[in-house]
Amino acid sequence: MNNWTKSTTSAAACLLAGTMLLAACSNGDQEPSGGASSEGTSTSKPKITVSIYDRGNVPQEMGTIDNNRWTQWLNENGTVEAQYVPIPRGESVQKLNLLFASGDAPDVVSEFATSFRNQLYQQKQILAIDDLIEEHSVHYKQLLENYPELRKAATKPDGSMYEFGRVQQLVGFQALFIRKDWLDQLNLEVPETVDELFEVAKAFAEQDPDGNGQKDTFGIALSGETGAVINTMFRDVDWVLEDGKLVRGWEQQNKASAFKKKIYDAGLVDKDFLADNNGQKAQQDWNSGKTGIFVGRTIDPVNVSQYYEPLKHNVPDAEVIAIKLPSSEYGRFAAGVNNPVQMTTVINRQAKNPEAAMQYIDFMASKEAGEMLRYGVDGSDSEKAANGCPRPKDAAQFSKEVSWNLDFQLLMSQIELEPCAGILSQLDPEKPLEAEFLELVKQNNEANLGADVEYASITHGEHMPTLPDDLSVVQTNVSKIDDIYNKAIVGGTSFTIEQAYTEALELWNRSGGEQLEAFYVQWYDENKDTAFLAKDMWQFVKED
Amino acid sequence: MIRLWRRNIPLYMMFVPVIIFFILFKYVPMFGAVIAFKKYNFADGMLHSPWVGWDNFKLLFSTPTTLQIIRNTLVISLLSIFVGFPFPIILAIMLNEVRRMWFKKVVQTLVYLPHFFSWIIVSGIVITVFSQQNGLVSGIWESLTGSTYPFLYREGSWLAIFVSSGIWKEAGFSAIIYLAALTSIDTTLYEAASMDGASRWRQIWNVTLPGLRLTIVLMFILSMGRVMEVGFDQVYMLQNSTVSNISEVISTYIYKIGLMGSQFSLTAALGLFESLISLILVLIANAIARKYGNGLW
Amino acid sequence: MKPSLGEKIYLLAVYMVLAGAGLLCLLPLVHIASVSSSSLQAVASGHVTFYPIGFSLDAYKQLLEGTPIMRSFWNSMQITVLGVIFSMLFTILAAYPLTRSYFIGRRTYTFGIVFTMLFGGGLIPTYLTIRSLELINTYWSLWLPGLVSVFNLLVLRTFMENIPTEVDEASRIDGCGEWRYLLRIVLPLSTPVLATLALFYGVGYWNAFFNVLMFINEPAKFNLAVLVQQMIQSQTMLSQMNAASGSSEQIMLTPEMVNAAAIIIMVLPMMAVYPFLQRHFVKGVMIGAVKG
Repeated sequence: MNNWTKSTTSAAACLLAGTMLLAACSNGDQEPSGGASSEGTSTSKPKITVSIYDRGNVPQEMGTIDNNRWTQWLNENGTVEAQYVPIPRGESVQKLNLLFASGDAPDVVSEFATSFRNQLYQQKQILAIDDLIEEHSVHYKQLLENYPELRKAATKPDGSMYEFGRVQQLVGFQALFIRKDWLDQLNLEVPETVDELFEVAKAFAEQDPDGNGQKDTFGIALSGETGAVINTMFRDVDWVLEDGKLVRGWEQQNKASAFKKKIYDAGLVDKDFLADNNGQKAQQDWNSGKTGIFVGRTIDPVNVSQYYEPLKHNVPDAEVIAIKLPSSEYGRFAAGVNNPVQMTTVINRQAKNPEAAMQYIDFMASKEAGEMLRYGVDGSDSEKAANGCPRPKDAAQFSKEVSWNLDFQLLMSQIELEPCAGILSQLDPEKPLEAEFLELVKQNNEANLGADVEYASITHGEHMPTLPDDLSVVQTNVSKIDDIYNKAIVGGTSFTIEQAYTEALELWNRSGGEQLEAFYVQWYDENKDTAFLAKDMWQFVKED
Repeated sequence: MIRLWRRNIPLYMMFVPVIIFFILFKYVPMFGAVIAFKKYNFADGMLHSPWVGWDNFKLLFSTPTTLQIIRNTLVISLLSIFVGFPFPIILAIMLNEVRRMWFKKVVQTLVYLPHFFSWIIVSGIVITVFSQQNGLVSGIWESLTGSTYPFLYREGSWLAIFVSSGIWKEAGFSAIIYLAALTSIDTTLYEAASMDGASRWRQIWNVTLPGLRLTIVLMFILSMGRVMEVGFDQVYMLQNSTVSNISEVISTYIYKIGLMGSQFSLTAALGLFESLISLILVLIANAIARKYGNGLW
Repeated sequence: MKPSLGEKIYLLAVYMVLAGAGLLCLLPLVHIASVSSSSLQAVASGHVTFYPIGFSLDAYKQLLEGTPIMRSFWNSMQITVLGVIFSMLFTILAAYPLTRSYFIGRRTYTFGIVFTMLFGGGLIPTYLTIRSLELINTYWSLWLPGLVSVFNLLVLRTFMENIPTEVDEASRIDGCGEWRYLLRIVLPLSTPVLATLALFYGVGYWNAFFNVLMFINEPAKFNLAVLVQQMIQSQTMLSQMNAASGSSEQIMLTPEMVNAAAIIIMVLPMMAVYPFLQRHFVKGVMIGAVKG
């Protein structure tokens, strides 16, 4: 018995000591996780907390995303001292949810997901900003005057503005690339209608344009963005206007799917396009020179290495041009353009010093801050190129020190920095590949922004209204319709488009699709004069 | 009686920190599940958000596809569990038979690695291998039968590929437990069996498997608790339109709804439903196991 | 005992099947390694199979050079080693009493524990609990929620119950107390399962990704998994989401090579660790326990 007591006490002592040791070892720096701001007594500037995306791409010697050369410059030159709260980009909505749920969210929050910002509005977590802008800002007020569409996009159903955003020129974003060398080889013209598109794709697939003696080429890609753009050609964009009313575009979807079925049945595409969830296989096939028609992008210098450089490496004689979307019975459309007025930022209702938050935002929207973030210091980071625009002095140094600060530019209106900010000025005409890509960018802008094409949707996806909870369940359920049509595309004779249409319609009705339609119809009726629509987007077309 | 209490004192000294842990970090957060019955919003928090009773559940189950989704989840996971169950065991037993240590160690390490590959890359490999144009498997199939088979686009074969790829990925890792269990089987039993003239095969049947019985039962009951957990990554990466009728599961459905806005209450409601099903299955499995004397509790 | 022909064939079959299984796992690994060390053009055109084309270690350079690899490696070590110690400690303390038939409330506790495996509050309630203890942004937020895995706990309990009752009775006659019995007899006899659980916990802590991102706010405290995966895992899902919503956010989609290099970096420690575990899988740990 004595033994037992002894061993028990010694065990208890061990446990206690162990726990104390472990507590001492703890990595405990209990720092408040970016809560509401406090009035700082150390410096004279008011303090706020600001969210900043963390993509894990800050080079080590530059510091961390919340403490680096740029945060220092911004804090020194702004009127407010900002403490940055890193938010992991891939899980940003979840992290922000946690912070809001626990009352720890930063004063200034930036998030791309429109639905998240809308949720914050609905839950009354953000401030109305009309008065703040009026009384405490200079640059942003000016922006609103220059670009009234900014106000339109920021206004919520209750009439006040809630979001800050940035303005860019409207440029071509998605591009319909086609192999010119193949067209020449087979004596074909650039396709102008969807029927011609079919013929050209057929020729590409059957007549061995790469001259290697094997029928191993694809006429056109069907997965990824190419598939989406084919839909656009037929105005298959879910909601279309008919006699001034918004309706669900069934006809258009049927026609687009029928076309896809036609090219699939004719053997012009990769039979596995359905398994290519993110379009990567299609991109690989384009880059290895196997596909004749493909949709890529022309919005950022990185696109060169994504869609052009590998192709030229594998097929040095390849010639690529960007063409207008072929017309269909529904008209001729633009492939894809960027969102010229992108809303990004809101102010937390719990912010202790909203005026300071407004001043911070105002500074971030200023030309001074924008130029500094984008180009760095004139002379050491960048220099003036022949066209008067700043260009990186040393590409390696620039990418190490400057190019990762994109997420600080979420309030910078690029349009104020034109003509130097777009991709056209960022590519270097001295390098042959980039010079060629520059041509493609110009061609694509012309193809998408010309007067003879129109935007297929009523507005950019980021400006569509957010659905209430019960309708978003309906929306998820009816999104299965795409799967039904896909099955028809590959279904051969056993599953036709008509059968798909019947099934889709049935699913639509069963799931409450007419409630969805009623919602959008009502939204459009009530807001068609005040909402940010396609015609507003076109105010921002590049002036040449 | 007092002796019983006395004996329990050291046990409770060991167990009290554990109880504190479970209460604090498991049971306290569990109350958060109550938002399944509320319309949760940040301003009111968990305690004060408005009570909506069964509304969230009604919304979830009112849609025609809900039943299909639940059915898919059950089918896919039960299939994966039942088909996949023997593989780690067989693998462990086979490894046990091997005498050459270097071979055993190399194979063991190799088969447990796929557990660490992310589905992002594994799905890419699977899709490439089974692709109709020039996938490895299609090539073999074509040379054997003269035509291509759309493996990934027929529900039956897709399901087979799904389950097999899951087995490939996890069997090696799951085998570790059985390997550990095998070491605790009394080797004298083997000696006795072989002296009685039992072949290797008989020895496995009469010595190894009974020795593993407790472990097998445990693993089985625990996997019943995981039935609703069909891995999001695996389904999301491998699914395509043609098999959407069987491939839409609870986790992918929640993800898609979530895309429209953070649906806290709906997610919580579905989570609660999943937990309930898991509980029922575990209770059933445990009851069956108890009949044979091996219940968990 | 000379092996019969049947037995020889049987052994041969076993070796062949195992070799096949090993190969089935080796080939994808070789493919991933090849992709990770090939040139951008080769990978972007889908040409790489089982050997690198245009050999280059740029992907590894991108991941390691100019990233705080040493610091995050050290963080991972801290999180993993301390995490395994805490978890093993608590798991043992939890499992042992549950094996004693005279432990009051045994069945209730077991059921209560299994219950927590099935029901949970979710991310937000757990976060709020940790926050109320002011442990956000410390490593305790990683150790505490996952301190005891019910799965591991039950495995340990089952193994402990496997110890022959003769050993138990013998110790009781010797007047051995609970602590001594646990420390001197039960644990040494359980080394295979203890090593296994240490591996399971270790792997869990080493690869912790989502929890780190949610509970840790300072990038300086991130572990290797986050460092290496943040660029990849998040970006891939993100780009798919963005493609679906038509967003014009420019995601610098990390090239597939970097994705593959990340996997190799995370997998190598797993390969190195396993031999240590296997050392403990010594058969016959039980013989002599009864006799002795």
